[in-house]
Amino acid sequence: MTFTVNGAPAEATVEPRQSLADCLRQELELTGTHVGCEQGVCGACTVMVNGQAIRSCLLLAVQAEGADILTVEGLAHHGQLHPLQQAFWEHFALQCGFCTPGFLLTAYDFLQSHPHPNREQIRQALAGNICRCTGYTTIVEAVEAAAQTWRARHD
Amino acid sequence: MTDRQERYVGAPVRRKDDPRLLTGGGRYVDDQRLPRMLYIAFVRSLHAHAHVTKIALEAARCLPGVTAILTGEEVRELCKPYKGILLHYTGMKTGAMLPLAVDRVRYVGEPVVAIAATERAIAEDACDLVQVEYQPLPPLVDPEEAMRPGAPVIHAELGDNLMFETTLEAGEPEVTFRDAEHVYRQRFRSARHTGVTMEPRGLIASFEPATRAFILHIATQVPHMMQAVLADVLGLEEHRVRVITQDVGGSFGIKIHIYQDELATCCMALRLGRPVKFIADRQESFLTDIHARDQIVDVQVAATQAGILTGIRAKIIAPVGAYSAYPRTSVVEGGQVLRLLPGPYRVRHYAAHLQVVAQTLGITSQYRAVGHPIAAMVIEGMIEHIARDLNLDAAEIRRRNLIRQEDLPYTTCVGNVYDSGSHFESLTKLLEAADYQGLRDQQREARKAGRYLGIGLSCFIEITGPGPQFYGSAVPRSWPRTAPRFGLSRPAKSPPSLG
Repeated sequence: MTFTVNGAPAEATVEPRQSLADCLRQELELTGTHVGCEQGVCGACTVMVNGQAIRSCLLLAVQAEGADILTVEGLAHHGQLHPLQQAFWEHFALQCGFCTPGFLLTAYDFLQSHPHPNREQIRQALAGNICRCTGYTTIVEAVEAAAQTWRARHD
Repeated sequence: MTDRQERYVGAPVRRKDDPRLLTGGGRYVDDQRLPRMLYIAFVRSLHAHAHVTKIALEAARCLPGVTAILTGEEVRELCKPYKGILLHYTGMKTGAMLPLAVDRVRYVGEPVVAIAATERAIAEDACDLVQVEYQPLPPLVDPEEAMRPGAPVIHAELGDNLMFETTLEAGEPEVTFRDAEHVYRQRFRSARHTGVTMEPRGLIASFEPATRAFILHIATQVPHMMQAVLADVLGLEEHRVRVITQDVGGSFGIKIHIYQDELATCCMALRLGRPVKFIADRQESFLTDIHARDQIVDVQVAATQAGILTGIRAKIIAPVGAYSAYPRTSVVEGGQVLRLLPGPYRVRHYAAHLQVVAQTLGITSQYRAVGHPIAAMVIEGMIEHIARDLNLDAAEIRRRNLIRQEDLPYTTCVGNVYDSGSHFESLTKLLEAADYQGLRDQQREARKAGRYLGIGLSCFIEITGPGPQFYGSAVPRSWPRTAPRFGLSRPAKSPPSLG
């Protein structure tokens, strides 16, 4: 199958039953997307497919034929962190880091359609991502801060 | 302050690893790939308790991509049986474990067959082709049932299911309860929890027969412990066992233990002389990660009319699963509750009895907080109960019982020394900051309108630095060709000497 990953053309030979998550991690060796449950519950595997945040553990790789995919490895450009990544760093929004790529992609999707979110909206948007380390407060603060810096970068 | 102190003390300091973790550069064990690596999956027991009467492997062996299959019989030649016993828990007994069950399974999820293949999916397909015949035995889940004479014995050679028993007494509890103005009784039940790390357990075990070098990539809190344990149970030289731990996706105690499936993976590596990877999936995690918190506490508290707690008596039953966890045992949580029940209160008379009991359920052991939540639930629950009965405010009854500055250093009735602390002062500050009176007024108003608002208080002491005495005392012993090593033994009467 062929598709686009983080702006570059990609090719992979997959089994019909292989998930997109496993395809990204094993065939393309992009291990930034993590598998936490394989049941679509925890959100750690979240990536963007054709402009939508989806659970890559629940999508078959073959369903992504021809798709445009964004993973955590595609957020930073030329060594410069994306405003979300920068905000997570400054607000201590990660500890072990395992859930973090999922949160980043979920927040990325959310902020594109909600450039001025309040905290309640942020919490709602992130409700499908589980973190066992931080207690979530700093993640919400980071997304709130990133909304501002990302807007500023665009304005 | 020096310039360095000014820059760091009290200042938020960004972590050096975060940019790597934020850009997908994490190095968790499942991100690692070694040449010629195989993947392992397990056939696990479907029964809580059963004889294993037959294992049919032919269909599994024939599946393309399957490289090797191990059962308990073969693993017995690669790994010596091990027991989670620490000598300072005098009289402790438990059954020996092997990485794969032999003849008998004792909890749902216990690994029975290990299959290594070129892909995890193929290994799982092969597991589906394995046929295991079981002769079910009565499951033993209720700890009080498990302790009744005549109950089925989980490890026949032990005679009964009592893993460990101990008593702690201080002051004069008999007299105190006999003369008490009020005695309150309650049974508390805490249910099983587990840690649920976002990254499941995992490892890559690798063995090079020509050099007898063993390399372990593992998500663990304790790489040095892993080195010692592996060398011991697998018969390897410790200096030829290398343990590599990079990023770990959460642990909280879950990854401070060693598991049967992990040792089975190591055995597979020994057998094949190739890297073998095991990553638990979420089902396996829920089923076989260590559990915790399962306890029954029957407590009695003696109190005066003024709400002063004078004595505590407790019967603690800690059901802990089929085997004591290796190597840190499964008795610690019960032992913590035994010592923590008096909490931060000035109780002088105490009598508590602990029984740690085996059951045909998954293994339990230390998971972050070890015992504290149970002890707090019990004593805070009783304080609330007593306050309601004596018509005392919840904060007031605590004020009357908390240890104060002038009591420090304070030796508790169970022998812990609190050299510092400010529970009383913290409570005062908390109530001020929360506008406690205001909250109680709000609560009263809401009650009139038919709304029930709860106001909860909880005070607790956390053991954070038990020190080496937590593990018993150490006696150095000499070790061929390397520096002296330390082992565990019963408390020595004289200081240890090198020799």
